Amino acid sequence: MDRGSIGILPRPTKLADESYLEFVTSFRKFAIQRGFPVVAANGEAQLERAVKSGEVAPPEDGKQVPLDEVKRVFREVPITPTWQRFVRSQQEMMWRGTRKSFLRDGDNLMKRMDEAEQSNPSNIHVDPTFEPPKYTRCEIHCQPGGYTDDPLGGAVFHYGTKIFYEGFNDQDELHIELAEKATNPADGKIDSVLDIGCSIGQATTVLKDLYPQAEVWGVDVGLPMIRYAHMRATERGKDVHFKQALAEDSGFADGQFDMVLSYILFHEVPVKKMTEIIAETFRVLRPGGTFSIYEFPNNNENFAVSDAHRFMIDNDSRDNCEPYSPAFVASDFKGILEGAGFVVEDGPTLSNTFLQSLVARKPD
Amino acid sequence: MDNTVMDEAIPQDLGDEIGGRGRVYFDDVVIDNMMDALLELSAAVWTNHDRVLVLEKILEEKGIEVSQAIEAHVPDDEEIARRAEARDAFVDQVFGAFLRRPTHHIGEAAKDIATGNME
Repeated sequence: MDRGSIGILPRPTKLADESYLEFVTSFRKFAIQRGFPVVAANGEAQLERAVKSGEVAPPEDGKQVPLDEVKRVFREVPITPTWQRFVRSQQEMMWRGTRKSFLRDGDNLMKRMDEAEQSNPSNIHVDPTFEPPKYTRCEIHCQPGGYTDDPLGGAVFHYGTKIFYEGFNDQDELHIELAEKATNPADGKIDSVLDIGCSIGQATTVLKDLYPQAEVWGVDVGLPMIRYAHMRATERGKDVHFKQALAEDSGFADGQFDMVLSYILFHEVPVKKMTEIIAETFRVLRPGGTFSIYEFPNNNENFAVSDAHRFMIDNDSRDNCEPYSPAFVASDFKGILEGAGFVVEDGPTLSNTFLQSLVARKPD
Repeated sequence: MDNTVMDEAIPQDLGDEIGGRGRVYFDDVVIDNMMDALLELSAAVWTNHDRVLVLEKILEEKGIEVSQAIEAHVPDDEEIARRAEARDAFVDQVFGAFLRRPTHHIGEAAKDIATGNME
């Protein structure tokens, strides 16, 4: 039975699934919004006590307590493993429940993606010889099959991230903000726009709405993401191109784009690949072009990450399958951008103040 | 489009992270299991409550008062069997975590006994 949609969001295939997943959303809100501040306050108090008592050596000026010590002390507080259990369990419930529900409609979803490709073949670009490299094929955020290995991954990602965003992005509200706040080139010329790591194209389609005269592309390594993004754009009448490719080897021409956007991409790749992606983005941007970056915070000169956030990011890396985020957090992200040739400055502030916002300009 | 992109079958079971024995956060794994059970139980309670709310609303819209009829209902054998099957699945859902992560030290031995591998 077709239960319709929630605006532009697919609805789970059974009421029981939807009720179950709504419970998970409420529980996630409880665990993250109310639980983490309690973990942070108690863990940091315990750490302060440990430093004062000499159990943990005080950090030198400008340094932080070593992460292993932070983790050890935080885990002495009973709320910490409780919170870790809560967060991991709700994440597993989210993916199990979401996939189970959309698997029921799997044949129809595959048919809709096929039909979109048949009716709008010029807007999806896939190289049949392309194989996603191993580093991309992990189950990021514990999503079954990750972004690359579940044919239904796009639909599962879409509803799964509804839960992740706790209902704040049901109608792509967050992606609308990202696209609207993307910085324009100083000369105002915007004929071509690229969204790297576009997943299911939520920001990509908004970029087309904002710049209807421009050719808009989304690139992602995950074929299931690209296929779903293309289906979604085609069904909604959005003339957007989607390409399966590596952001570090995109295949676009030198200087092809006036604007590039990336949203929480870089903490999902190894630092070596991040460096390559940044170099590739510099290459495909034209002189004077802008690169709008919304990303995890990191330990560069712009941000001082609290001990609680270091604990949380480490926990997220280990328990939420974010294998590359600790190295990203420890990296000199801004320095790498500048090293590639970009002029970097702070970008517009986002509603989600956890994220950093940067604008990297390619000099004229 | 540059090619025919995806014609493989949709896997029914997928995911190393959500499958297997999973993560343990407490020294006593039973605490992890009990917390998982509590979460599944809470989800099940809410799911059922939500359905009853929807059901009552629909019936009310149709002018049907069901509260007394529910209390007076006596199931036949087929309904009893169907509800028992659903109840068993509910128990598996709530308490499955205890089987997923058996107690550390005797876990492998217990598995051997269960599979007849006694060598």
